[in-house]
Amino acid sequence: MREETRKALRRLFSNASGVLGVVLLGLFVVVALFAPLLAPPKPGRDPYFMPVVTWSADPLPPSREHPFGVAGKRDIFYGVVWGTRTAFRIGILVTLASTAIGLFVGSLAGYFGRILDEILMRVTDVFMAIPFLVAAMVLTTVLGTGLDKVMIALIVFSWMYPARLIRGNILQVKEEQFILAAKSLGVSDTVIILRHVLPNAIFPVLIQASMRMGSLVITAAALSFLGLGAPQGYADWGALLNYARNWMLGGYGATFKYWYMIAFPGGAMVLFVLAWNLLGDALRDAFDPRLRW
Amino acid sequence: MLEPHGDCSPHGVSLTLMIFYILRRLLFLPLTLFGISLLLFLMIGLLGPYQRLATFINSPERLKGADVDKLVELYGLNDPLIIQYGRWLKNVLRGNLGWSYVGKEPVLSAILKRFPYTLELTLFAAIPIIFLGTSLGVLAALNHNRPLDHGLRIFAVVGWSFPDFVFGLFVLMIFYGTLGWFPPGNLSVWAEEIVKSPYFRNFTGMLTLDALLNGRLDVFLDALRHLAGPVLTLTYVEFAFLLRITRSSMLEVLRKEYVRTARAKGLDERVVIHKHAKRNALIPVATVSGQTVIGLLAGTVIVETIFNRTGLGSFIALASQQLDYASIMGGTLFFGLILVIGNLCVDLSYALIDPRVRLE
Amino acid sequence: MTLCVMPLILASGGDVLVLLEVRNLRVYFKNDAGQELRAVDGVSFTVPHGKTVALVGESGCGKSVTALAILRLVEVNGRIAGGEVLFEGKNLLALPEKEMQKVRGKDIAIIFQEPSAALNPVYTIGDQIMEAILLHQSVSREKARALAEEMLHLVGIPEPRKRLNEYPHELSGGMKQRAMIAMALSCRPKLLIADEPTTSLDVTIQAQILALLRELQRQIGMAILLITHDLGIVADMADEVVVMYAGKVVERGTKYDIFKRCRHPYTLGLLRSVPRLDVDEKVLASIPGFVPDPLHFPEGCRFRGRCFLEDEACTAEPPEIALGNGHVVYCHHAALSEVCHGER
Repeated sequence: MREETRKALRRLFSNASGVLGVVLLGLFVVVALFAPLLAPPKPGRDPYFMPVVTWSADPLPPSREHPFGVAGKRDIFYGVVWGTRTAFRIGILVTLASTAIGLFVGSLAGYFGRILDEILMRVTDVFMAIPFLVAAMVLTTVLGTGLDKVMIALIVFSWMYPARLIRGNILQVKEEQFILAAKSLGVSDTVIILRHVLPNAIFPVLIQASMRMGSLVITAAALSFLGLGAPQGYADWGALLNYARNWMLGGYGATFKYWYMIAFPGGAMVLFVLAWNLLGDALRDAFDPRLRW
Repeated sequence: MLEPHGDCSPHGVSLTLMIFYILRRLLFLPLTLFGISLLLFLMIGLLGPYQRLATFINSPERLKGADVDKLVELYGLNDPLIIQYGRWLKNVLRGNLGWSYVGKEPVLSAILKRFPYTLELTLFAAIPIIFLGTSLGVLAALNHNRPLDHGLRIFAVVGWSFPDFVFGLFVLMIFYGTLGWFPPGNLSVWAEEIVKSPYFRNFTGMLTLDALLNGRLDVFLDALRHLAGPVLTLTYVEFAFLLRITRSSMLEVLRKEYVRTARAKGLDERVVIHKHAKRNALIPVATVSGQTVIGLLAGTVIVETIFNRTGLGSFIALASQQLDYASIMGGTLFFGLILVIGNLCVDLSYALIDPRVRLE
Repeated sequence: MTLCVMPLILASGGDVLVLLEVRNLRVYFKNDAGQELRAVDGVSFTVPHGKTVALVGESGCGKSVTALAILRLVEVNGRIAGGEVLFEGKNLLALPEKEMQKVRGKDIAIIFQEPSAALNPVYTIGDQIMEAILLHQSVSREKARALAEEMLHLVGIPEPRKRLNEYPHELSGGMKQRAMIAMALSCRPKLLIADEPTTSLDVTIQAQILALLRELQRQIGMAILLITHDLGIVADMADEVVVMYAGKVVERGTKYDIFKRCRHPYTLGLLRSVPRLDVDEKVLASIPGFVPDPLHFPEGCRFRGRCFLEDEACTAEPPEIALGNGHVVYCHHAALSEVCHGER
């Protein structure tokens, strides 16, 4: 197992796009960690809320004091920096929770099979039948605004993917000889699942989790963009882009001067998702070069 | 699930097996729809009875000065959820989805009025997505590991990493704000007038089709111009997945032995690639294409909102923002229905495309 | 007789006495690390008209690559680095691709080991056979269809008309192989290359397919280049045998020469390693050592390290020793008295 991991890690780093992904991610991690230094919050206020910096409702182009410009009366640079933290928070928490739930459900379905599997798979089908964004929209509408509600909504509608994956892998591994051997030796089911089945089935789940990270953040931002997610003024890339929306409809000739409203938060989003996608691709190549695309 | 089997069998797929399979899938269909409705209902059930009251009132005026508690009692909003669900389901099956606050009309008619616009957008976007995705995917596979391949892959990965609203805003900014080519909305004002006038017959509800059927080329072109922005957005963001699948599939097929046999017969390389390899490579792509198109429906929520278009997507977005629960439920239920039926059609068509399919 | 004819053959560009002459063929591949793999490194042999020549060797010795190289089908991921392939006097390796396409399927046809993999799953058997016919013969579709049906009948497939509309997965293994043979022979080729045609089939079907090939050879008058690792099949089918090892020919000659009077230690080893029911063998005979890594072939004779005749001379490239009657061996010690006389 160790030798394989070492070989896989070597493959990971020999892949140019994988390295790029890791580097980009590293950059974002640095920005997130050093947010208080890069964009110092006003003392006594919740740093996640972008401070109001101007009276005018019009957006302001980048300047010395506002390097990314001003939108919706708030400093875009601040929003992008602290938005990085928001993105990581949402991404990591939701991925962890949904993967945990998914692993649990998928393992049950895969290992015990038969009726339980059938029922759980039907339930999964039902959850997957509603488009992700729409489902999240419905739930956030019901639960109300707030980042925690957004995260709940995302978790509720994304556990199915790791569940399916782990179930499929378990079904495959279950048929392997060494499982039958362990069973015949009297090893209990739980131990078999934890010690033999899961370690073999875990890697695709990790890869999938990294790919999902990107789409999760996009959906969360989409919700904020629609005004359903983060509360007014919260440092979230989607919320920042929401400010841009109305100004883009300003009519012919009027919009290009507001390029910074889209470029900076949008650019941050694209690079963030790109980083996760590249990492996921590189992970996939590393663990199974046959799937290289 | 349908899966191709490569091993041999003395007899082919019989018609009866196929029919059994279709029947089984059709049987599961209501079950899934039932499940969706239950899920939705449970979500809405998280709301308090007063909020849910709004879904039953046909016109806001009737709420004025009314005793809300009495109304809650009247509509049975304090009854156990199971009973409420049963009642609601009965209504749904009768076509009564409640009143849309956003649309100022019954939810069902609001949906049916707007759906054709969304369908139109989806269909227009599906064509370039499928075409570009597959042909570029084949091109990338044929140039495996050469600069063109790398270039296409980068182009695709970047597109895939773009959230649709970011790209949509870019498109709006550049192609509308700066260049003035692709305006938002469904139609220009003058075209709108024509469509609303009694001389214009609405056959399908889809602007382009109706314009053609009415013989109005100018309206048709105007509608196209308004479709360009959203279609461009949806295309760039979605085609990458198809490109990727096509490329992988093509690369795999090019390694297969029957491709070598085709060459060994003396066929020209072009024929080998286009007749033998592509035909096999596109099989998995076909189902993915179907799923992508169906997935586009969800994408319309954002795109219609950004481009200020009328449609089911923007309807749901607006309903969410305005907390119009009846509209949200109805719209989502409708989306779910389309998705499930669409996926079923895609799965069934797979059996037609791949002669190897053995129905389990 | 051969000794006087040989200089004539070498002098001219090629000779119509021999249908196919492979001269010093070299086929190299590049692996992922960019290293060069010399899969076929200087192989020479001939195939006379209407006869069966068996190309024998263990897996990985380069026999399949040689077969593919004759039809220039390796150029997708390998390269033909040298040599000549003379078919009826013309060097196939020098032909432009368009001309080569006219040879493939028409003058030279090939059948492969795995008929399941070699037939396109989305087209019917009829379509695939007709494609070959329509490509090389100017006939109408109806005529092509009739010819295809005829071919299926010829290869012994029952209800040929029905089979025309069936897909490969609807046929059993043996029938698929027959269908592939039908496709290959549909244009009456002069040479059929059969790459392990029966390896993936049951033993009883094997015998049927071999009998079929013999019968068709007799009817059409074609030559067969049979690639195999099974000496039983060689004994059954071959007129001449070419033994390959590690990308090179080590010995070639008539069936009798190889089986009764082989001169190369490897050939001896091969023959000995076939278990016999009538001899009480306590230990199965095998050739000591392993086939060398294609990236690190030994200097000189590639059989070094496994050969009981080995000495210092073997560090040099083994010479080609003609023993008369077309029997050729590549070994420093071929001058010694027959290595396996009386054996078997």
